Amino acid sequence: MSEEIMKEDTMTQEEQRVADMNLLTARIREMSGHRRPITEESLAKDCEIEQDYANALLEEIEAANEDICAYAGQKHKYFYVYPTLAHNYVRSIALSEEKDIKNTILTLVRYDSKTYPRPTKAADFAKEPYRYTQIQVQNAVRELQRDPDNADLKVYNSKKGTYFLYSTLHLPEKLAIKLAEDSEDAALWF
Amino acid sequence: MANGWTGKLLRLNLTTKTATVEDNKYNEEWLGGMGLGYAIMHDEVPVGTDPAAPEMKMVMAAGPLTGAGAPCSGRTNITLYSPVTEKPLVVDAHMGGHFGPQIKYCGYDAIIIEGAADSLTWVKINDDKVEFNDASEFAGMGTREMNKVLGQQVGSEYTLCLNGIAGENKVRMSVLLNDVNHAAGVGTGYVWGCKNLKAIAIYGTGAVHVADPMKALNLYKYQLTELIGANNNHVVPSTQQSWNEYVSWTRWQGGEGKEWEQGIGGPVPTGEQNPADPTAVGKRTNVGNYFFGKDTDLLYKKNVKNGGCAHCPIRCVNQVHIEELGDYGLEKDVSAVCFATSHTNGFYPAGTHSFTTEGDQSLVLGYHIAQVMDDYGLWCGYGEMDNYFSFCWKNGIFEKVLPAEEYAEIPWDLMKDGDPRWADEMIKRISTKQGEFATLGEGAWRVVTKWGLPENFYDQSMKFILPKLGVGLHHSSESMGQVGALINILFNRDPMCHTHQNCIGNGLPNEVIQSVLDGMFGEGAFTAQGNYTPMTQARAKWAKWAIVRNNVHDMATLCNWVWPMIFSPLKERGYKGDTSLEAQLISATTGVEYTEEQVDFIAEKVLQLHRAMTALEMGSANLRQDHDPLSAWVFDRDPDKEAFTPGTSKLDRADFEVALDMFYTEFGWDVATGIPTRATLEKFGLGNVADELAAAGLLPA
Repeated sequence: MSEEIMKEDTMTQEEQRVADMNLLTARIREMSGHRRPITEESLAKDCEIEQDYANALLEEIEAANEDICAYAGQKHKYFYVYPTLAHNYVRSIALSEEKDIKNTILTLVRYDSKTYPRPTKAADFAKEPYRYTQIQVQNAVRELQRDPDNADLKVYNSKKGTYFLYSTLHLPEKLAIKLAEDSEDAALWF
Repeated sequence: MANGWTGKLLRLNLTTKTATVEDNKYNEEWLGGMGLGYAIMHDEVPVGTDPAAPEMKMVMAAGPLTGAGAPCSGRTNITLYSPVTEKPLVVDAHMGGHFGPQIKYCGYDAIIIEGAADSLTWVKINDDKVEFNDASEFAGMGTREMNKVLGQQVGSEYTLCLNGIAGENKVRMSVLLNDVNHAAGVGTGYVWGCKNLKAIAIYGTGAVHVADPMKALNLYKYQLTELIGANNNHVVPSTQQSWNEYVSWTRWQGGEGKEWEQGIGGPVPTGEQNPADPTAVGKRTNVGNYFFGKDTDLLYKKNVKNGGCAHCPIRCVNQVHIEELGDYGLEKDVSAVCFATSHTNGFYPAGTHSFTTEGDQSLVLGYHIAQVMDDYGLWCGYGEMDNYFSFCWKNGIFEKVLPAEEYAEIPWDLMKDGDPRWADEMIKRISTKQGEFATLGEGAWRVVTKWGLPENFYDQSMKFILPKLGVGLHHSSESMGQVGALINILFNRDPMCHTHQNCIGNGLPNEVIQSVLDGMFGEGAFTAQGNYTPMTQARAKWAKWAIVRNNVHDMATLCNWVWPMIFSPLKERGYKGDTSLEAQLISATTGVEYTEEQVDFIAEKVLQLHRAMTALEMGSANLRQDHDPLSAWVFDRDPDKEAFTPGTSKLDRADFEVALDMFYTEFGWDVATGIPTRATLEKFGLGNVADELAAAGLLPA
């Protein structure tokens, strides 16, 4: 092969790589503009790029763009533009799409107990985007509590009969109970 | 041309039925609103004046921002002597609506009401034209009907401030209302009733001039796009939207899928609530759903639209359609804000039942009761009446104190059945002073005294906070511990302060709230709900700032349910707001440059005057002993828990003495007595007040 032809092939590959990165980046931005994160599988498919190659490019994209973030779900990685999309918004989509109720409960209960801190109402899992029934939640909690690794996951039934969950990793029992009861005492919040 | 202020006061003498206009000499020294009211009351109404006497005055005051267009600037501050406490003590009441701006548009900073008419009277004010009219056709008329009848007479451009049946009958626990349901409590209706004043209809064709309108406009835009949240400045939405990291159950209820389902012309979507979108501010708040709709969004199903006050983008008043009320022959279109939730338990101590949807009784009864209370002009004292009524019923007091015949003909079964018509019966009896039962309308101190309630009533009732006065709480120790408790010792009524309460309900994590508050006042200012820590000087500074800033709002006038802008919904700002905004707006509006510190200084001056006047009115040389002690429940609740351990809001007695010492020190009050020293009063230009205290033998040595 002549030297000129060999030079042309190398440049074409590099240009292709850049073009593919730009395509993926644009797709992430486009989807974030529509308020949706996008998984690596969907990105590869939408951009017609082989998966492993796309994954490698996505790592570079994440490193090179401060505003492009990835949330690592249990099954997929979700790419998005921050702060256009909030981290926890993407997390909620990932959890709802992956339909792993136990992971959803553990993630959110531990987050609430650590962050605010506050216990989590089980009824919140019935709302968008999760839409689990109370029976599903209670069954999942029972299964979770059988695992010693989840010994921190506790249940509290309030005086009004509301089912709360909290993590003793971050929220002591007495405080969890107090916050649960206070949340249901309307007189405190007029 | 005056900016912000008009420079004029309108004085209505009901005895002579004359109106005079005078220069407002109090402007810059007292700012307006509460400051103006206190200054006039101090100068013109002697200590000990009976609220029922013609010599009693009432100051209905606007401030430099009222009606100028600043967000949440529709409020009126009303200063009077309370008819509810044992002795007449200076208090101020406040109402939203449109009355305050109309005062300004007529060309006045305040209306002073004095004297007493010889027959029922209503006053019509249109700019400089004032008429005193015979109100006999309105005698015994509720506010709802009067809004229609008088409204048709004067025209829809008039704002009507009305005295309901309760006030007309000189019930102490009565309100004034403007714009249908914006009420001012603590016996304002009683004072009007004693003066034979039934209504003021007011309409102004003037304007509030703004010194630097472009600066003011830019400040409004800044506030609406970067600082303001929902009602109570809750800055975190209750739903996960694409932009918010935090989600908490707050008054910010709007979001995807949430529609005002009873909207005229069809459901009104609220949609995603981008915090930088000023056009969406009015769809964020749904106070009713915050209280009633946790798992059901019930208030969205009932909501027609959100109403509110002049110049307010928040729109906190739920206007709802409750079909179930029609089953009882009652008005189905009702409106209310927060307190609608409380009445169910208090007025129905025997229990209630659901109507159509499981758990909807608080909504159905609550909104109905709010409507009837407003119609009669009866004041619950922020739940005080509910509380002592419930106590009396549960403890067999009515059987003891009511004549047997009266007890027998009261339809208690309606109450036991959870029937909405019980509320009508109860409110009507109290408002028309029917029988001994109507003592309930005289306020806690008179109920306790006259009916011989147990001595420990206040100490056990978790509604009352100042047992020496019979005054109820308003976000006390349950709201940021010592901060809320200290705020609640100050006034001669519930303090109506939300500066501190707004912080704990705003939806942000404790870590964020703490970083902002500790940053403002020093480490230790913040204390977490249900997990309090011992008192710190920083916390005393925060408590002082919270109430002083509340006073700024009552002087300016701005709504303290939304202001101050301590926090922001924007993560780009680190959720930090801008507390200099009040001073910036007052400066831009009046053309007089004020720093944040200068505005706070004027507000503190009012509080110093209030404290001194209270000492004089009580004849007390020791307010720490005679006024400020808290009810025992603050320290004795949760007997199985220690103070300052996780899981309790109880305070510690010794720690609270330290808190008082620190708080008094922050204000420059004598630590032993809680009374301002001469040095402090002179610092605020109140040397004459120090002389008054000295002459009465009340000035600290």
